[in-house]
Amino acid sequence: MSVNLKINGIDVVAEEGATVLEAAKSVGIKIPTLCFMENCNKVAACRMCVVEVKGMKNYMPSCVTKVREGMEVITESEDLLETRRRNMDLIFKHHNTKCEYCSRYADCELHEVLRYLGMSEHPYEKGIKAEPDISTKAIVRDNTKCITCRRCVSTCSKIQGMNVLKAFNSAGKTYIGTEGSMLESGCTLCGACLMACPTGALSEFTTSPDVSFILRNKKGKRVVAVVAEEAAKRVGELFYEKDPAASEKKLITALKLIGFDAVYKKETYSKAHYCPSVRNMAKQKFPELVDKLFDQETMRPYEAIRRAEENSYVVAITPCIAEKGEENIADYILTTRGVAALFRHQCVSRFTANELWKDMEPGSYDCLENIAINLKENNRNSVYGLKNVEQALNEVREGLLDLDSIELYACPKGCMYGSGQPRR
Amino acid sequence: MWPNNTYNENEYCKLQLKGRILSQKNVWDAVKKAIEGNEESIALLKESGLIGRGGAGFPLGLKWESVRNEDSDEKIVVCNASEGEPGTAANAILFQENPEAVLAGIAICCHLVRANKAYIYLRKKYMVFAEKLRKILLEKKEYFDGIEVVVFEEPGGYVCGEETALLETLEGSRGEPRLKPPYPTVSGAFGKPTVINNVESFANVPFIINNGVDEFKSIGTENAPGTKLYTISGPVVNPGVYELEIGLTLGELLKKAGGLKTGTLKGMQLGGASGIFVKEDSLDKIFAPKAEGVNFGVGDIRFITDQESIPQIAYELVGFFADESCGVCIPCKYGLLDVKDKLESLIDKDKQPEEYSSILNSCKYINQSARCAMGQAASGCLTSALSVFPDEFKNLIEGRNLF
Repeated sequence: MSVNLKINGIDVVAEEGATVLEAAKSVGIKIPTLCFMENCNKVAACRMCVVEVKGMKNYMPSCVTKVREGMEVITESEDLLETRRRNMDLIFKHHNTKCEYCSRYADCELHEVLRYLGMSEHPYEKGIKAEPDISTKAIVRDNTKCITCRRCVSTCSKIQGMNVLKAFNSAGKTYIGTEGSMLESGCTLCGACLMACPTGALSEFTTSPDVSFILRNKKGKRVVAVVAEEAAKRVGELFYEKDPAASEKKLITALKLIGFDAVYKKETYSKAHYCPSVRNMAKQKFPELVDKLFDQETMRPYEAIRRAEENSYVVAITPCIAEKGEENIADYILTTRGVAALFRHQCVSRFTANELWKDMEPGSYDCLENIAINLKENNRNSVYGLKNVEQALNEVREGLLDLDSIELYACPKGCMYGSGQPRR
Repeated sequence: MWPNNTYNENEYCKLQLKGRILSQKNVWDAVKKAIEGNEESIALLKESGLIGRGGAGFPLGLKWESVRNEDSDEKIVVCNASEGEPGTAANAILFQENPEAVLAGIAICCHLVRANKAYIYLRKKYMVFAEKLRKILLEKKEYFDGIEVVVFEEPGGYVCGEETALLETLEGSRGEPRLKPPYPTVSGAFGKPTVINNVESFANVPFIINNGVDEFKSIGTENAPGTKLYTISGPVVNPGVYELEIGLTLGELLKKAGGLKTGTLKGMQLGGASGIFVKEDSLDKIFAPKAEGVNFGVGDIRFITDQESIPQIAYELVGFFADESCGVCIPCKYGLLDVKDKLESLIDKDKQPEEYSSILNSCKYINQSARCAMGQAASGCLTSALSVFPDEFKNLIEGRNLF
């Protein structure tokens, strides 16, 4: 069934049950959104996407308003723009605007909408106090930057099935948080929330300044990198290098250029499940399966290199946030975004990283003897996302599924789109 | 200001006048009659023109009929006694004076819509009635055959009185209003078709079943027959709850409350704390649902004399609503705080006063884009205070040394 409506005077044919936002998008009309996430967060909290519907007294949020036959919608008017601007003002009144120090400075979605609304300044004083929660040393939750859009809450509950992040308190004091600190809350550190966050309220615990420091102060030690394939293939995106193979090779050169003494590839083994976030979840919900899931081999991707490089600083480069919460993996753990940040720190005095990246020669990995690399066999079914993992493990518990036939990943799209990877 | 609505602590939490609903008897006979009448009983309720007493004024018969027609194994009835609005005490008085009428109304509803579960949703302060209600339920359990009745304590605040926020809390979630559609009559608590009505609406049902449509319609207005429990507050001689026929003028209601104690009348706020303000020249207007120039709401009137300051009242109101917002949408959560700050700048002589038009605009934008009726009503009552008494606000600004 299709429905005929008018958006800004244009005739639009939409599927029955579609939202006004979808109908507008189908004809190329952009409506700004903040809290909206497809198939996940539809709370209509931010009121950025409000539109005028003929016959309705108040403005309607287009992300949840369904199309109706004969509906007439206006998406742009001075008053609508002013309504959105007012709401943006209110968001900014309660938002930490030390933006230049924020990890999301370059890709903040709040800024994107702000520019769309054509706002040049906001009329409010700043002054919000809250200590960021850094208890996990992997995910940082800074409520001074939170706009309570609920994207993380929906992701945590609906997609990952964990229900760790919740809304607390009410009215102007409403905040998003966890019961106790994040470390005590049962968070598995999957990092899906951090990928959902439109601002810098949820971000990774950054170690790039520390790595930058040891690269400048080696104290006679070697600094070596262990690079995960998924990170290497996508890091180039942050420097306009779209080809994954070229990205991987250039990363090696780039790391050596900024002072790494050796660059190894991270080995993967076929027998063990690895995802640390899945293990964190299993410890809580499937304690009897933990030993079976994660044998002593689990940490081996880093162990061999650490043994060979005993007196070196080992820096792991990974697409994973959860690895940051693991002990004894490496001396420092950098995500893909973190390594890009490191790259910018180190290159800043000589040339811009983008230009350097463009002209870079491809390099190749260093090899350790007697180490088998990439033993992973690809005949297992991958299960992505904690909610699906939980379902699969329930089946394992009931004896319906063989643990050796599946490969478990906490991230909804697997490691290639892990929570440490470039955002878009 | 509106005194805190603590049961039995406020001067208006007092019964002043009993009418036919508060004093009705033989309510359990009505349950028997309704079960016998079955389909006809619903037709009777529709014909009676009884509208919900919770403020929205939706016809009760229509609501019950649509839930009855829903095809579902389980249906739920909720009696909403989350009477959180300052200046309102009708539900408390009903539970105090005639709880049996309310329970009989609930029993009738369960039988007519074929519900197997009922909740009596009490705000925390009203938990004092829980024991009494449970005792009656036990004594009259033959009327609740196959129906489980739960006395439920409201976990949150004012916003839980909004019907969909209420449903969320019944399910154990945070009290945040849902997006409509679907409406509760189709998918309410736990996804089941649900009737939600105010305490007073339920109390009217046994009367109609026992006495018939003609008797019920003999008083009241065409749009809203019957009586209403008015809560009258402010500096009147006898503040409290009055059960009177719908259709009296504001002046007559003031007279019933014994007139003013002190001062001269400046204006009124109609329909509860989220209702609109009117000037004293509205005394001859009829106070009824859908009547011109008034907002009936939950049927409350607060009389305001020249000894009170409207900006101060507005400031206290916005403080209440800003505290009670559920915290989902930006305009209500932050916008009301923003208006509160702006009003404070008028009242606090040490602050740079905000311009009148800026405050009015803030209210307008909240009203336009708030997510549920609470944000809209809160900004609506402020808009009305600002536009009915503009001089009071402007005088505060003009009399000041601007820096």
